[in-house]
Amino acid sequence: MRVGMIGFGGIAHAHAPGWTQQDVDLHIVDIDAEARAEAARSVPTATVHTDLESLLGAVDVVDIVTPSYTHADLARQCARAGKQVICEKPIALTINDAADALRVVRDAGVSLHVGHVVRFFGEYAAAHAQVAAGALGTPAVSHFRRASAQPVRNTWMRDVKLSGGVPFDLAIHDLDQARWTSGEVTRVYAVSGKPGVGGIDTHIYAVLTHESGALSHITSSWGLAEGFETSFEIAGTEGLVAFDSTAHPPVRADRPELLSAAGLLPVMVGDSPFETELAEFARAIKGGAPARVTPADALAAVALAAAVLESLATGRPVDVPPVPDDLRDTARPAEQTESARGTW
Amino acid sequence: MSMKIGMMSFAHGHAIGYLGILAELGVEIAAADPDRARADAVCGPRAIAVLDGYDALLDWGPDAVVIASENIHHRELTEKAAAAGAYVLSEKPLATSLADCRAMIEACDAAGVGLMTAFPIRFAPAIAQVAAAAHAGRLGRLHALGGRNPGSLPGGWFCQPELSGGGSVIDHTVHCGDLMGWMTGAQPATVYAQINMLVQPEHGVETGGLVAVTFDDGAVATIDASWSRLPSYPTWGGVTLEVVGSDGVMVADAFGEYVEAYLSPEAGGAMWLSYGSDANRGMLLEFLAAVRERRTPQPDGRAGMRSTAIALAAYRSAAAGDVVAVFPEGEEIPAPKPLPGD
Repeated sequence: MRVGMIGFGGIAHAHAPGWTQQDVDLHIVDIDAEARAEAARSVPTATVHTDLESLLGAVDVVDIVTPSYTHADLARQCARAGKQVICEKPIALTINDAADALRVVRDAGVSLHVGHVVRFFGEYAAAHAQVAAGALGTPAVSHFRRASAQPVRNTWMRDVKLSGGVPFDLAIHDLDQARWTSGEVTRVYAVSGKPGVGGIDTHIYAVLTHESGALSHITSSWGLAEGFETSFEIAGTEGLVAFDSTAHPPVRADRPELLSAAGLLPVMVGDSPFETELAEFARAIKGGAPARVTPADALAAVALAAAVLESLATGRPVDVPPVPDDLRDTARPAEQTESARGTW
Repeated sequence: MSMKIGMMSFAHGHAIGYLGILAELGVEIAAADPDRARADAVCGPRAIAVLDGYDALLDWGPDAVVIASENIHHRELTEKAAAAGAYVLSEKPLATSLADCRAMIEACDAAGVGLMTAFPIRFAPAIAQVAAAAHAGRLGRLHALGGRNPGSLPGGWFCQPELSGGGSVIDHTVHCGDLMGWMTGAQPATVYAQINMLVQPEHGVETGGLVAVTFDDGAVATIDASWSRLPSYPTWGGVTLEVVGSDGVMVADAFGEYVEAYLSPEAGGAMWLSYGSDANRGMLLEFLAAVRERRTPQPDGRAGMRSTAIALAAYRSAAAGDVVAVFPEGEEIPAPKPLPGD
């Protein structure tokens, strides 16, 4: 498999090992010379390109790891060039743009895998297995919390128009978890506070109401001084699962820099969730089992993050539009139908 | 001279714990309860007198009373006790309507006695430490507070809205709501709430509730007011609070002092062994000190009304499916009225 990573910024460092450990011919492109030099240094087996055209001519699969505001355009461009598309989350910063990207990918007859990587973290996968097996009964009230310091190195992150702010960069993971756990979400209400660098609110609470009647509570924060904390609790009608990264960390140190990753990613040990994710995406592209995250999931996550932003702007609850019929099953291109397009 | 405390009803099980602490503190205790057998069962082993009705109890001349009746009766018992010149410690929620809260506050104001709402969580050491940091300004401005008070379904009258005022939301919104009002010093302005009945629906009241609150100083908050703990959970439930300030973030677990135990099935299996100080004791010491000093106990009736208002607004919001004002037009917490010792 010939794979091209587009962009070599922060998250690329988590993706690159996922590719180098697989039997792939890896290519990397970045518009920034310094980033290219860093790519050449840290991934010596990869071929580094100076422009996208050159990379697209050398690969079958692209892995888009650029800033969020470029994802949808790049996904469309690569799909039109006939490439299988893997893209970091979020697929887009608006519902319409996300739906359009999904349609372009579908019409180009290529696959799309969006990196909702939290589904690949062992703790979340272990909990989900219990939910999926019915061991908890019906999920009733769930909590998902994710907190870190505000990313300040990439200035685009603090511009809501470019990153979507906390809802699209951070909360989207747990919005996706809530939906993965308790099903489709019908209403969202959110509040926020603690203005940080750039004046954007760094701390968000959201209340989600699911079609099933289940409730989910999301805490998303860039408001910590340092560290990265995640926790969840799923209380169901028959049982409960809970996890807190601060309760029994598999590895601890008196100085954070001693740990493998600190800051914008949780501390990870053993198999990297990014490696698990990219391996699963690669298998799916080669015709294996579908990945655990579908394009419709990515679109729904965007709809939820957009609903959070809208609720924050209006101070009111927001009805979440359903995934349009024509985009529901894009994970399995063979099963696609010619049903009427939705309203997005 | 020893202080005289009258126990009014044991409908709420918390009263049993209060009684034990009061007895240990050496105050003189008598009790009354419409369910005489219930009172006898609690008081008999401790040789505490059970009098024949509330009037007899008040005729005994208590300095103060502890009211642990069904929620709906808090008002009537408070009015009786205040008229008899007794300080009042009322179980939470203070009442089941704002009108009742107001009447209780005004009755005690008029009688010149203090009214305290039983919010022992304020006295849990972990919570008190966060509050001390917040009140000293060490967290800067408080922007966001996340509270969770998931518990086990208590059954009985707690699941009869005509006696309790609702289900899990009236029962479990008020503790966290009180902590938030206390720490911010602000009044709740709006509430958005969603409730469900997925867990143990056979009881016919909500067992799931998420309540979002905005305060008049701009702070935002959420509260989990659910009965989501099943018998398989290692303890009854808990209270945790995240406080996000401009200068720091603190998270407290009010019942976080426990030892994990993995015992044989006959000995109880996996469980949490609580240790540490009993928050009820701190609360009762404050109440007794306030009675002695003829001052307003804290948390007072106004604090009780503030968090009751959040819970009542949660029901209105859930019914309307929209954000609602915490205090309906023209309704507000009565202005403070100092007691001689304040």
